[in-house]
Amino acid sequence: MAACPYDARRFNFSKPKLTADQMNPNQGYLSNRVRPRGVVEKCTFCLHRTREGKYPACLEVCPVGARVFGDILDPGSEINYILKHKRVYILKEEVGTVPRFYYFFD
Amino acid sequence: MKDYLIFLCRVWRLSFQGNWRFYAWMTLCSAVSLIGLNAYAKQFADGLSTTGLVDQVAWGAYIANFTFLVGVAAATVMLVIPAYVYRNEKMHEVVLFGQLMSIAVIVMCLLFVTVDLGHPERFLHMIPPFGKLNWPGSMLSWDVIVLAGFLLLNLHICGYLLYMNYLDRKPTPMFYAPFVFIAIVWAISIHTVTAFLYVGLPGRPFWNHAIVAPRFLASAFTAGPALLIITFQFIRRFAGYNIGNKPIFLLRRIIAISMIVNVFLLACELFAEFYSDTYHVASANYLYFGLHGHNALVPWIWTAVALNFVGLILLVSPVSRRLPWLNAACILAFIGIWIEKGMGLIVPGFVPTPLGQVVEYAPTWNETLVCFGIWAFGSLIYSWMLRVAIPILNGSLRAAAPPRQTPSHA
Repeated sequence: MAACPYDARRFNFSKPKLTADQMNPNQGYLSNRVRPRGVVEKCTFCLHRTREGKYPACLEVCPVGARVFGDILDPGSEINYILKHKRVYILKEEVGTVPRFYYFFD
Repeated sequence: MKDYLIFLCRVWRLSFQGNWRFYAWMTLCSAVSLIGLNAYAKQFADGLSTTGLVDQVAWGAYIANFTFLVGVAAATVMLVIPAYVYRNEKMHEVVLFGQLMSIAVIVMCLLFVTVDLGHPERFLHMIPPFGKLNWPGSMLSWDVIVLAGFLLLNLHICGYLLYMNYLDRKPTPMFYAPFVFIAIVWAISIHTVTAFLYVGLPGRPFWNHAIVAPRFLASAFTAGPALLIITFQFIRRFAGYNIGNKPIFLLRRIIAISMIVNVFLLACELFAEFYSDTYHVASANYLYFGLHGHNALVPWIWTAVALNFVGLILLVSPVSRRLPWLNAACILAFIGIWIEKGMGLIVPGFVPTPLGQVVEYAPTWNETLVCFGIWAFGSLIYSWMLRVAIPILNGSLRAAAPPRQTPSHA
């Protein structure tokens, strides 16, 4: 928590209070599993969805399509096109944490 | 071995005997400890949401007290060095009280860390063979090693010396002297490692200064001996152990010098922060002047500055050669350093957050009760140890038959 320079981590201060109808039954062990109180968690890029070839949930609900998600190792992917052709910056690049999260201007 | 068990039994019985003052004090400490335990039970059941901590400010009163107390534990070397390195006779008579204090204070430190854990039972994940100690990569693993090691060293030294006193035998230097000298270096290391817990977080510019560890030591060497000066006067007043004025005034000279160094280092840091005026000054701005209308800590830190400043003036002026003034200076410096090094150091590190949010922290009532409980528990075990140590040191508790003929065992 204290060490993260991006304020990306969240701590479960109390017991999760989700009702049964709010609970997503499609859970992945390494991603959106409901975690107990007293542990730290952070965004997993919706691993349970991306493994099935779907976009992370935040991309799907974004009304203006501001977000792009893709395989950075695939030279033909949309994300690689953006990294090559748009103005891209990395938050706190100078601290050397090499995040795989980029901001771009369009 | 049998002698040792008899010793333990006698010590155990003795620790429940005393005059009405002893009973009143121990009852008070026990009651407050139990109130703290009750508050912790609530926190254990409901989670850290019972504290004022939030995602943005992840460390608060618990870690603040922990940091301060590690300093108090380390500062007992200010008794050990004159006693053992410079062979000051007067200090030698009281050095054990300092070492016992560091035991009680380290126990308090460990408790303050434990209550800050979201999953206390996962502490075992650091202890082989239940888990893996991430050493030397993690500063926390260093902290566990140095704190536990310091506790063991002091337990050994105090236990051995007290038992030898009880048997009326001269302690064999080989069995304690090397540990005393290791403990001197070790004491410096516990506070340095604690400072490195903060310094090692480059994402928090408020702590990312090389000067934090030296500042920690300077403020610790003021606050710890200040507490000892007050404690010595309680011991000679109420516990019937004659402590002369000499150790007290030697400590006065020590804290006068460390207070000067402490205030000087603070001024150095303030210069570096405010003169360069980069955006890293935001945390210090929040602490001293408030940021965007958020100024919860401003009255606290200026109180601390005033207390430290008045304490410094009293300590360096000849007026503190008289005990009432010296006591006043010690209390002012102790409280001033507690504020400045506790909440004044921990909370601003999180304000503003790396993304620029300003979230203020204030401990909740439940959290405060836990803190009071741990302080009371520390006082309880320290009083307990003194209750046993004083009769042994002044000779009223001795092994009945001189066991010089029996072969060595313990």
